[in-house]
Amino acid sequence: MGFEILVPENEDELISLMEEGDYQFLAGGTDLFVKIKKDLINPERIIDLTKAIDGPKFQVEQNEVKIKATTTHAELAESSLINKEFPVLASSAGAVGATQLRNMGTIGGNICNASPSADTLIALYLLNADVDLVSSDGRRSLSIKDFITGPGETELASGEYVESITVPKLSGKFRHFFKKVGRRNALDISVCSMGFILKATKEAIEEIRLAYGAVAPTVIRPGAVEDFLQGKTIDKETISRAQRLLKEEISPINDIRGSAEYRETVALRTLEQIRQN
Amino acid sequence: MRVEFTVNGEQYELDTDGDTRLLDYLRDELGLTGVKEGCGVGECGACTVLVEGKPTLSCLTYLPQIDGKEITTIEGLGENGKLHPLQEAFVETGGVQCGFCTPGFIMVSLKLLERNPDPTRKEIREWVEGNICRCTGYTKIVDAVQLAGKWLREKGDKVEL
Repeated sequence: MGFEILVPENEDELISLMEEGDYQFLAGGTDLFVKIKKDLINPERIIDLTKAIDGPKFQVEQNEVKIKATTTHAELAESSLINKEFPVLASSAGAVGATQLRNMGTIGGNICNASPSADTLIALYLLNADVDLVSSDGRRSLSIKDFITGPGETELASGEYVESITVPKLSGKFRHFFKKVGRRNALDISVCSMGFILKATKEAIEEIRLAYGAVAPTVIRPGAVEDFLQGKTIDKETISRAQRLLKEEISPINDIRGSAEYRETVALRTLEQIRQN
Repeated sequence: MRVEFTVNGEQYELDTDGDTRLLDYLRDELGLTGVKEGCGVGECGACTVLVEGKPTLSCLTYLPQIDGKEITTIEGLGENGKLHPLQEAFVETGGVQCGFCTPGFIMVSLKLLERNPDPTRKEIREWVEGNICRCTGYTKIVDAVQLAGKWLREKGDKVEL
């Protein structure tokens, strides 16, 4: 143990602190300080991002909403803007941890930890969100899918930080769904999580996007299932064919929270939610 | 770095490298031992305090993070030697057994009553799901939060600290 926490007040201070040596970022601290306590990491310098990334949490543009990386899960879950534009993001943020952890943990932290079972990532994959990165070289944006490369692994370069997340607005009315399955509700890490947004008439699916967590090294969008469902009538036969396709796209593992077989069963079962309503 | 904050209305200012948890500062330096350390890793809620009015885990919060902020602990509730109605309700219903988890439950529930003075049992259970009690079986804790809500509604009081 033994570390120093540095709190830059603005972007320039932040960038120069990053250049001065090794560091770990701190936003809400709900993952970082647990890892330190459990001796999984032992950083000497910690850079707190919460003051440097300031200003309004949400910025509404014509076609998109920019969300500051330091926005907490509680702020997302309770925002009337997010509940209106992106209900699936509000409900996934509301499913994180427990009251206290939602007040502390941030969306940027959830993204950078890149856990395959992170709740808000399901929504960000569904919404085709972009991650906006800043470094001394300038700015760049990567799609969430390209930013996250594996469990706990991202494209974040040394000297670079996540400033915001840009979420394109949806056109038309979608049904939003998010579900996490775990042994208990609070504080548990999902055995499987799933979300979809769906636009459909009585006859057929007009547009569907699906995302799965905890059944592959990262959150995934099962493209073959999405393609298959497009234009289909929502009935039992469609769902069971989609389930067969989904089976090929997921690669669940055995771990302390659940067996691969259980995860697969749960993942396939959640597809039936599309038939509700 | 230099940090300034208030705890239960009192102003503090000090130098810190950062390596001090809010939990340890409150207990060891200020003697506010109503703040409890249970698991130390954010899973039990015993260390809950309010930071800017929001229930926060003091075991996962370090001093540089509270610069400029207002902290409230269980010791900051009630006035003139009288318990806060939520504390009184825990006494009345027997929501306390060993007492170790009680400050955490009270600090997290305050915020619920502030938002909704008439929560259902399900809403209370969901709100306190990050707090663990190993004695009561939770029933009397839920009773206490409901009773406090009832008292506060009857008095027409807003839930305030």
